Amino acid sequence: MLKYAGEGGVSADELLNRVRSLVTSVFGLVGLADTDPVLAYSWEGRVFVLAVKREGLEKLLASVVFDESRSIRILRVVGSLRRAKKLVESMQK
Amino acid sequence: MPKRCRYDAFTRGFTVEELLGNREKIVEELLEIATAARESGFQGFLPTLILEEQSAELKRAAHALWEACRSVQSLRGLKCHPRCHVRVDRVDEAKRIVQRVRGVCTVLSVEITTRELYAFACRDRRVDIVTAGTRALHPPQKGVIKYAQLRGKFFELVVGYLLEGGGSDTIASRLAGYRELASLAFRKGLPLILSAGPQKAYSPYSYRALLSFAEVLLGVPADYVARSIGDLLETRIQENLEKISGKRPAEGVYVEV
Repeated sequence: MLKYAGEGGVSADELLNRVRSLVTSVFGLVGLADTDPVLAYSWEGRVFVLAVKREGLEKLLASVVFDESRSIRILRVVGSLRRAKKLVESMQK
Repeated sequence: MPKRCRYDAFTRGFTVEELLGNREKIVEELLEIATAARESGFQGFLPTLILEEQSAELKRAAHALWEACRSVQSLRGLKCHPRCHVRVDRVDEAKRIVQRVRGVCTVLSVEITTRELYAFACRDRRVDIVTAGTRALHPPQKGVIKYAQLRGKFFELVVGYLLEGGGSDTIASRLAGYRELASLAFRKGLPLILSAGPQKAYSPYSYRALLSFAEVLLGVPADYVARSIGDLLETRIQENLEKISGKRPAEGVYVEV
């Protein structure tokens, strides 16, 4: 689960592209293939749920550190979409 | 054993002038920081006062930070302890600053820029954290490491410095230095802290992202870093608080009330 903490909102595609380019710049194409991030769910351009391959999870998290604007914040790592949606719902309250 | 807590070890980086300004503004900012730190997976944070030169106001600024931390801790329930970070080029200046602020901060760190500062920071009992600066990424001498082990020093790598004003070749060479220092700290059993470093506006790295960074890019087990910024740092903070309050007047002496 990611949160966009920058100015305004960001579209899901934009965020996904940013994450992909971060992974590629740190780990290259093989790293991106290991990670293969896909958008699973988004809420109001602020909170996003990305589905990644288990073996590439650590690589994705490590490459977020290289985001110079520091606008991408990891909120939680969860095992299922159901659990992620529940957490987003609890944030909405 | 104290309750488990994960600390953001280098929060924001305040200057002396900022802290001597409006007190309410500082508390307000610390409350915002507390929310962001909690969201990023931390249960505590160390607002940091950066000391770059000797001045008459150092102690007053450190005291203002101490007071602000106390009020934030009582308002939010998140652990908040003041940290002083000494960033100078000369050992004598560092010694003078350390002597003045040690009693008014829970954690004290020295940023390393020269070999002499390395030796001083690792030997001096008043220093808790030895921070690797951007200029000194070479490993310390053998004897210095021995002192660091004996005195129970923490080693800190500032992840924010990695990306500071440089292309990919600079980042790669800094990362190589970080890897060398991290593996040395791990091999020698020195607790390793990863932190975001000084910022104008607080934007922390997530706890989880820092652990993955350590595991994948530095080659240090994530649980080693987790223990360093968790239990070990918490224990050191409690020890220092006892020293400041007078419960530990000297090494090996504990006054029970």
